[in-house]
Order: sequence, then C-alpha cells, then structure tokens
Amino acid sequence: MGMTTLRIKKILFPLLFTAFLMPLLCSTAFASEGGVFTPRLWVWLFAQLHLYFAAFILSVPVFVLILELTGVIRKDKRFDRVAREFLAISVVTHIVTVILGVIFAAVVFSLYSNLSGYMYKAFSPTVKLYAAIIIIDIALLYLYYLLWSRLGSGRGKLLHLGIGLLLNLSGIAIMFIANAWTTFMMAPTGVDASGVVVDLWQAINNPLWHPMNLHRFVANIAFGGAIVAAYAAYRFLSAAREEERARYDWMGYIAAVVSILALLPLPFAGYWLTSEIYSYSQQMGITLMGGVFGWMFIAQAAVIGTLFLGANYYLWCGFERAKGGAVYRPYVKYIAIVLALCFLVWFTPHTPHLSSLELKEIGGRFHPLLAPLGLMPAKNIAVNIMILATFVSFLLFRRAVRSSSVSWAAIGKTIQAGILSAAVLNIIFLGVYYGYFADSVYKITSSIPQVLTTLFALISCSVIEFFIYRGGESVEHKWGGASERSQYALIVLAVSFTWLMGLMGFIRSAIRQHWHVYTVVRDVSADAFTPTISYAAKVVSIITLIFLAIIIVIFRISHLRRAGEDR
Amino acid sequence: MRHGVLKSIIVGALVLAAILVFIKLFIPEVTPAPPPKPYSIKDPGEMTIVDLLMLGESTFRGRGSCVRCHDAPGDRAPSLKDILAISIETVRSEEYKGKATDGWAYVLESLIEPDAYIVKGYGKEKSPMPKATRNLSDIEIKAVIAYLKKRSGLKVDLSEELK
Repeated sequence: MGMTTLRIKKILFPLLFTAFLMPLLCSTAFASEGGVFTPRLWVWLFAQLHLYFAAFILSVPVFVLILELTGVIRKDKRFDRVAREFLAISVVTHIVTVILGVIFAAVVFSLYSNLSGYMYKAFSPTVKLYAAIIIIDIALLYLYYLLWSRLGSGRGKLLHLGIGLLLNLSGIAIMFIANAWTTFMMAPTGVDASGVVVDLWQAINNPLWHPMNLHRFVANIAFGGAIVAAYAAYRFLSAAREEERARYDWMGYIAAVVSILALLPLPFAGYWLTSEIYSYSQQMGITLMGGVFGWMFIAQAAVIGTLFLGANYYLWCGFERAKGGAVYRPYVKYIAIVLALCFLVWFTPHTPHLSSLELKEIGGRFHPLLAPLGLMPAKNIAVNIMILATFVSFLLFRRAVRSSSVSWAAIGKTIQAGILSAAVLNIIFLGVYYGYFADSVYKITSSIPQVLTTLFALISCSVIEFFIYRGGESVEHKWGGASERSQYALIVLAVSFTWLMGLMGFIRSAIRQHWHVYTVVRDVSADAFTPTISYAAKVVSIITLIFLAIIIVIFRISHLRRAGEDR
Repeated sequence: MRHGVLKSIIVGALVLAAILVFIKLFIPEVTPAPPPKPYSIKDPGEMTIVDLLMLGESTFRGRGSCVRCHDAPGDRAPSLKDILAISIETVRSEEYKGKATDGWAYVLESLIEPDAYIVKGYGKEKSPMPKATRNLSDIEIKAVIAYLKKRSGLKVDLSEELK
C-alpha cells in the first residue's frame, strides 16, 4: 500500500506541478489576444503535442535499429539491451500519440471545418493511405517489440532486423505524407486559378516537401535522442545501485551522442528549407526573417546557443570518465570562448528597437559596430564555427576513453588540426568577403561553400580519426562515474530542444499569416492575426510543460514496468 | 541519489523559466500588423482616378509587398524614392539591355519581367524580385504605376493609365 502511494505521488507530482505553473504562465496577454480558449489555441495545443510525440516515436526506432545492428556486428549484448529499453519507451508513447492524433483531427474538423474539408477533398487518397500505414506501423512496432527475445539469434535476428527496417520505412512514409499536407499549406502547387487541386502529385511534390522531409527527419532524431538521454539522466539520478547508475550513464551517453550527431547537420537542413521558402515566395521569406518573426529568431538563436553549450558541456564532463581525459581539459576554455563569441554573434539583432534618445545617441537605426553582426553572413560564420567547435569537443570526448596503436597518430592529429584551422579561415573569408564586399546576391549563395567547407572538415577529420583509433583499445574508464552536473546538461538539452521545436513549428506555420493555405484559402476567423512574441512564447512554454509532464508519467510507467519485469 | 524525478523537474523548470525571462528582458514586444481586410476591386469602367490611386497605394504598401524590400532596412532592392529620374537615367544608359523605351515602360518591365534588366548590385543573372503577375492582377499593376507617377509629382490621367 505504501509503495503504491509513493508511485501515485511520483506520477501525480509532475501533473500537479504543471497545473500550478500554468496559471503563472497565463497572464492578461491571453485575454487581450482573443482569450484563453480560442479555436486557434486548441488546434495549436493538440497539433504541437501530437507533433512532439510523433517526432519521438518516429525517431526512436531509427536509432533502435542502428543500436541493434551495432550490437550484432560488435557482438555486444549491451547495445541490444539498451535498444530494447528505448523501444519499450516508444511502445507506451505510441498509444499517447494515436490518442492525441485523434483528438487533434477532431478539433480541426470541428473548429475549422472549411479548411479541413478543403484539405480532405484535395488529399483524400493520401489520407486513406496515411490511415492504412499507421495501422501497419503499429502492427510492425508490436511485432518488433514482442519478438525481440524470440528472434534473438541466428536467422531470427536477421528477420528481426528486417522488421525493424520495415517499421522505420513505414514511419518515414507516415512523416512524408503528413509533411506533404503541411508544406502544401505553405507552398500550394498543382492548383488551378480558383484554388482547386487539379494535380495531386504536384500538390504533394511541392517545393518545400523534400526540404521539410529532410529537416524533420534529422530534427526528429536529435529530439528523440535528447528525450531518451533525459530519460537516462533521470534514471541515473534516481538510481540506488551502482550497476543501475553504470547502465543509465551508458544509455545517456549513447542517446546524447545520437542527438549531438544529428544536431550538427540540422542548421544546414534548416537553411535549405528557408532558402526554398524564399525561392517560392520572397514575401514569405522576408516575413520569416525580416519582420516580427525576425525577433523570434533572436529567441531561437538564444535557445540554439543553449543547446550547443549544453551538448558541449556534457561532452566536457565526459572527459572525467577516464584518466586520459585530464589531458584534454585545458582545451575546454578555448572551445568555450569560441562558442560564447559565436553565440553572441548569432543573437545580435540587425535592427534593434530603439527609443528616440537611443537613436540620437547611436546616430541612426543601426549600431555602427554591431549592425554588420546582425546580418546573415555573420550568423552563417558563427553557426559553422559552432558546429566545428562542437565537433572538436566530440573528438576529444572520444579520445578521452580510447588509445591509439598506430605510429602516425601524431601526424594524423596535426593534419586534422590543419584541416579544421583552414576550414575556419575559409568560412570567415567566404562570409566576410561575399557577405559584405561583393554583389548582394552572393550574400546567400556564399553560404553553400561555407556549408561544404564545414562538411568537408567534419567528414575528412572523422575518417582520419577512424583510422587513428582503429584497432586501439578502450582506456580504462568507469561507467556510472559521470557527475550529476553532466546529467543536468542532458535535461537542459531535452527541455531546450522541446521548446525550440515548439517555437520553430509556430514560426513556420505563422508565416502564412492570415492564410490557411497560402494565397488560396484565407483564414477569415477572428484568430487570423499574428500573435505577439510573448504570447507565442507562453503558449509554447505551456505546451512544452504539458509534453514533459506526460513524458515523465510515461517514463514512470516504463520504470515501474521494468522494475516489475526485473523482479 | 534519491529524488531523481524532483531534480529533473527542477532543472527542466529552470530552463523554461530562463527562456521566458530572456524573452521578457531582451526581446521587444512588437505587435504585428493586423491582417489586411479582404477587398474587392472595382470594375475598371466604374473606377475614378482617386479609386485607382488608392488601389495603387494599398497594393504598393500591402498586397504587392513592394515596401518589404524597396527602401526597407537591409538594402535588398534599389530605392524607389526618386523613381522618375532613376528610370529615365537607366533607360538612357548604355548598360541597359531591356526593351523599354521610356522610364515608365521600364518600371512596368521591371514589374512583369524583372530579369529583363538587373540593377548592378542586386542580382547577377536572375533578379531576386518576383514577377508581379504572380500575385497581382493587371489593374493592380497599372494602379501601382499610377501611384508611383503621382508620388513623383506627375499628373495622372485615368484613361491614359487604364490603356
């Protein structure tokens, strides 16, 4: 009885906490912007919650399959066990996702019947396909989970991996279909002059479809990794036994590495999506980056900065796991300085809001020294260098627990340092020269060689690193010895990621402004206006809180179920 | 190592609180403009010169999105402040490769065929400006030109503009 009470308390606590915080987050701003319970708010709430869970359940099977395959190749049971535990979380989350999806559909159909009618009429074949694939996906998920032990070895394992592959393919198909609807609303193609969809394939294959597919796929992995890492952190912090701490330290490490590796190319995917938005409609592009939404990008930059700092901090804490890690500790301050400088550049606004006195003091709308840092070329330099700095942290983190046996290790490391230094110089040159001293058209196009430079540095240094440490032994290190601070960094990562996804989802959707389907179906409701930044921030924060509260409950259920299985 | 849930929740709540405090302190509270009111354009036969100029101004500042780039922060497009002189000068210059023979024909050409001539410093082979025909009707384009003429101090004749 006492145990049950304790469990109920632990599950109820996050819910009560959320209930307590919600009124604090709600202020008079809600009343002035249409009230608390407007149709838009309901749709926003359920769409975002559904999206969070969908992103999570689509990403987890990707790295479960990778981990299972790694376990088979390396003949290491730990990978298999951790993969199964990840999947167990995903199974519980699936049910919540389906429930939220049904509620979301009901809310949209009842509150925005014109829009949903138009979309259903235009995309009805894909809606039926979507429903069919969801059923297949759920069946595959349960097969994958329930047959884990039965198909644990030999040919059975191959069959099990095949089921995992099919599960991922069905998940990707679901995401692609939903992305087609979302991107059509932003960039409608295949419609006639009256707005009727006359070519379904063109409507699906609109200019934003593939950029969105790539961006969401990568972002989902980073997000899923961050959430699972936070789960491992919470289990690590709650662990009473040494072996449990070791297990969740390792689980957190795997999930964090997955998340960080997906985080690195994410800005590039976002850049592709943004440039396609510009190409489709320059008006929409300028609304995105130049108007009120420009200030949201300053908030976004601050949160992304937090993500990068959190990820790096976790990697730096990892140096403590092995004796060899102490060698790399002096580098931390330099990486931190680089990250901080890039962070400052990234969230420098171009056109600050100034009072008349400030305008007079500065002598114009733009700050004489800081204004150039507010432009995209400076921000492109900053983000590329931040990615490279995080990559350096990752290399050092790995080196802390590995030893090399090749004779040319020192030469290899010098070559890596040369490549990274040359890459940084090239990124700065491209950004400064083409961004400020050449034709304005190069401001955007110069970002492509910058991205290619970064990718070249990442790939070439990874290849050299692989050969330096191939065949080398793991340095003696202790799993479970991670500091509590490092686990908090994982929680920071998960919360920041969740909030950021909510904000970016809002921005992407809101740049349609008073259009449900851009230039085709106008939003004539009372909620057609763009909300203020603080309103959007509060809504995103509340949705983040609700999501995290539900996820904590799910973690508790998985935890209790696991404890029951262990007993 | 107890209270793992509590610790996780406190750290998570602190992150959210930090984000909100950052927004409150550093992000200005900008109130976005309300959505434009849906409007119907009068039949050209029923239009007065005032109607045409009003349509031109509302298209220039609203639906046409001209002011998002022209004379806006960021130097995204050439200035239209002295459009009369600039357009005449452009058509007369040796660098001009378009088909227009006078200043206002050049303005029309820039609206419907932006790639015909690209002003130095604002694109190479392709102009970043979208074709006005993509989201504006014929009468709206004519109205924008009439408005720009009026703004430049010229006398505007209705029948001439609607030709």
